[in-house]
Amino acid sequence: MKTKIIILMNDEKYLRSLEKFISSKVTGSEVFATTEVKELAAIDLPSCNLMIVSSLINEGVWLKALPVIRKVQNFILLGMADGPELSETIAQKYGAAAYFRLPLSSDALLKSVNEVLEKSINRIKIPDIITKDFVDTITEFFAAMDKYNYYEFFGLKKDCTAEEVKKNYIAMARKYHPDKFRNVPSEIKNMSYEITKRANEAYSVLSHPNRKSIYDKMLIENVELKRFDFRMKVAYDENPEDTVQNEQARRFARLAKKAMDQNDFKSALTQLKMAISMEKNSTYLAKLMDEVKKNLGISS
Amino acid sequence: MSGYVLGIDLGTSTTTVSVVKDGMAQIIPIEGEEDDKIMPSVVAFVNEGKNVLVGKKAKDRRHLNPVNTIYSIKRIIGRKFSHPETIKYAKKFPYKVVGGLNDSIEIEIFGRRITPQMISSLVLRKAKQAAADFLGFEVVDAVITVPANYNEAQRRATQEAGRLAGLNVMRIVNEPTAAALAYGFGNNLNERIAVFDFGGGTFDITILEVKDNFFEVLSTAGDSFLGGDDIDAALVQFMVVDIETNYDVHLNMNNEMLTILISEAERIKISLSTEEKIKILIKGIIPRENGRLVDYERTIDRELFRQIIEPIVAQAIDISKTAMLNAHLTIDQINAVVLVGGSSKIPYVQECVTAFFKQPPFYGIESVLVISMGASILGNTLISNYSESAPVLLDVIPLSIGVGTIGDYIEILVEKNEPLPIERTNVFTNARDNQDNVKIEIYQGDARNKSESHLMGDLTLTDLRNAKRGELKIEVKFEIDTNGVLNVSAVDLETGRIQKISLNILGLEQ
Repeated sequence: MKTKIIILMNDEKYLRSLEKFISSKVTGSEVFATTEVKELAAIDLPSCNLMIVSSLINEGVWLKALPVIRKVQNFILLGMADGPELSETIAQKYGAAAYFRLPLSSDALLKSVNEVLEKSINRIKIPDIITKDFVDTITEFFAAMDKYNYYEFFGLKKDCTAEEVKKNYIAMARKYHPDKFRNVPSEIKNMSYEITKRANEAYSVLSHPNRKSIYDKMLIENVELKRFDFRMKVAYDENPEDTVQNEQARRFARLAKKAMDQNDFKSALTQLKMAISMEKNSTYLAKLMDEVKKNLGISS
Repeated sequence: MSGYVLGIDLGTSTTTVSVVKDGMAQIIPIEGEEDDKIMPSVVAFVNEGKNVLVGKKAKDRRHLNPVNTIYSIKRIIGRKFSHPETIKYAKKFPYKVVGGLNDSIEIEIFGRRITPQMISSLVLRKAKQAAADFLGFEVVDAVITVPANYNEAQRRATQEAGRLAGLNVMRIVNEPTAAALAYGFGNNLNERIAVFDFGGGTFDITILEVKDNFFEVLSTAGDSFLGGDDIDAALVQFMVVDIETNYDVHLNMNNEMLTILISEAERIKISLSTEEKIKILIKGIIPRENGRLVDYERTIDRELFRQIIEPIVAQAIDISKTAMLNAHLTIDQINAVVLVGGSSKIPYVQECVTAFFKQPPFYGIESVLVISMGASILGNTLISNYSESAPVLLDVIPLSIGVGTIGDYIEILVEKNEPLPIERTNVFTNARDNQDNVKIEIYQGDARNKSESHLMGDLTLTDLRNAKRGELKIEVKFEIDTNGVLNVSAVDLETGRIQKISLNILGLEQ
C-alpha cells in the first residue's frame, strides 16, 4: 500500500523541485504535483494521506481549493512570506497538520511530513478496510450479485426462516453499508451503495409474505429470473392527449380540455366534434366527449 | 483534517446545534439565547430590511414588528403555494406569504421577495457561527434533522437552506430517528422503541428496533401540520370565544392582537406543564361602550386545558396506531417509549401516551436537545473509520411514491416504510409516432387517486429519438437515497444510451 501525497502550489519551478525532493525522501510514496486545483478532480481524494499546499493565500483562490483540501486526510500549509498572519489563521481555522513559512527548511518539512504520515496511517487504520482481502471480497461480491437470487444473495437456502433472513440482512449491512466508508476510493463506496440497495430490495421481498410467495413461485417457473418484478402492471398516464395521433385533432383536444376546465362545455363540444372528425378511434377523445355530454345533459 | 460534524435540529419553534467532541455529544452554547443554547427559529428584518436579527432578539420584539418577523417558517418551507394548508397558514401569519415560480412560496419583506430556504439559512448560519465560536474553528459538515413525514420538496428545500448557509449537508435525517440514536447509542440495547415526537409544528411517531448499535426503523407515520402551534391556536380560539360570550363584544382581530394572544397561549401551555392552574391576563383587550379598553382575566386549570386540546392529542394517538400496524407489532412488544418535542411535556399528552403504550414513557431532562445530539452522533459515525461493530442506521421512506396512470389512478412505485437506499425501475414508452417528449406525473402519499393525492411534480423524458408509437423502451430508474430524496436516471433499452430526463418538483423554484 503506497502513501499518496498531493502537492499543490502555483510556482511551477518550486513545485517540481519539491516533488522530486518528497518522492526521493519519503519511501513508498506516490506523489502527484500540480499547479491547478481543477486537475485534482481526477484523483480519489479521500484516499490521499497528505496534501502539501502553498501560495494559495489569496482568500478567493483558497476558497476554491478548500473543498478539495477538506477531502484529503491531512494537509500541510506552506505560508507566503508576505502574508504570514492570514496563512496562520487559515492553518488554524481549517486544521492544518502543520504550518511552515517560506523560505522553507527542507529538513523541517521532511520531518513534519514523516510525522503526519505516521500518525495518519496509524489513525486512519487503512489496512482495516483497504486490506486487499476486503477489496477482493467486495469486488467479487459486487460482480457476482446479479447472478444471485435473493436467497443466494443472503447466503441462505430457500427453506430458511424469517429470523435467518433478518440476521443475514443485518450482517450484510454491518459489513457493507455505505455510511461506514469514508476514506475509501469512490469505486468501493459505489459498490457498497449498490450492494446495500440490493440487500434492501431482497429484504423487502423476503420479509413481505405476499411478495415472498409470488417470488418463490417465480423462482420455480423461471430459474433465469433473479429479482422480483416491481414494475407497474398498469399503463402510466402518458399525458392522455399524447395518445391522440393526429396533430390537428390533438390541438382541438387541448382546446376542448381547456374549455372544460373553465366549465365552458358548449365550446368544448364543438372542439371535440372537430377532433373526433379527424381521429375517430381515440378512447381519450371519446372519454372527454362523454364527460362534456354529461355536463350538458345530453344523453349519449 | 477537522473531524467534526454539526448536528442541527432546525425546529419549527427553536433550533439547537450539537457536536461530538472528545467522544461525547455536546450541545453547543449559543450566547444570548434561551438557556444560552436554545435559539428561537425566528428571523426579524429591521431598519427597512437592512439589518437582520436572528433568535431570541428577533422573537422578543415580534409584537413590535409582526409583519417583518418570520417565525414557524418550517411549516411552509418546500410547500406548494396552492396547498390548502399553506393558504391556511398564510392567513394566520402576520407576515406576507406570496406565490413564486413553479407554485413555490415566497415571503415579502420591505417590498423584496425571499424564499423560506433563505430564512432558514439565516438561522442555520447563526448555528454554524455559534459552533465556530465554541470550537475555535469553522466546521462546515452538518447533519440536519427534518420531520419524518417530510416530503421530497421539503427535504430538498432543507438541503438548499443548508447550502445557502455555507454548510456541507452530509445527511438529512428524520427527527425521531435522531432521537432514538441519542437514546440508544452505545447502550448495548436490545429493544423495540417507539419515539413519540410531538414538536412545535409537526407530529411524528417512529418505531425502531435497536440491537447492538444497529438501528432499524420499522415504520414511521406523522402529520406535518399537527403540533404545539395547533395547541396555541386552540387556546387562542378558546380565549376569543370566552371573551366574546362573557363580555358580549366582538373582537376586531388584527396582527398585533393575534401576536399578543399567541404569546399568552404559549405561556399558559408551558406553565400548565408544571402548575395545576394559571391566571390569564391580557391587558386592555376588551372594548367597552365608553370606548375604554379593559383587561381580560380568568383562571384556567389543567382540566379545562385538557378539554381544549383533547381533539389534537387524539389525532396523534390515532397516527400512533397506524405506525404500530405498519410495523406489524403489538403494544406489548414495545420495550420503551421515548418522548421528544416541546408538546410532549404537556402532562395530558404524557397521560395519553402512557395509556396507549401501557407503560410510562421515558422523557429525559434534555429532551429538547436530544434531536440535535442524535444528529451529531450520526454525523460522527459518518466520518469514523470503518469497523463492522460501528453503529448502522437503516431508515425508511416515509411516504409512498407513485406514478399517475390512465384515469384517476396512481400506481405505487415505492411503498412507504421500505428501507433506504432503494431503487425501482420502470419502462416507459412513446404514445404516438415520433413523439419527442414524454411527461410522467409523480405523486407522493398513500392515496391511490390523483384527486386525493399530493402531486410531487413531473418527470420529463426529452429529446426522444424518432420511433413508431410503442416502440421506444425507456427504462427509468427511481432511486431514493439515504436522505429520503428521489434521484432519477433513464436509459434507452434498445440503444443502451443514457436518455435525457428531468425532474421538476413543485414548490421549489428551479
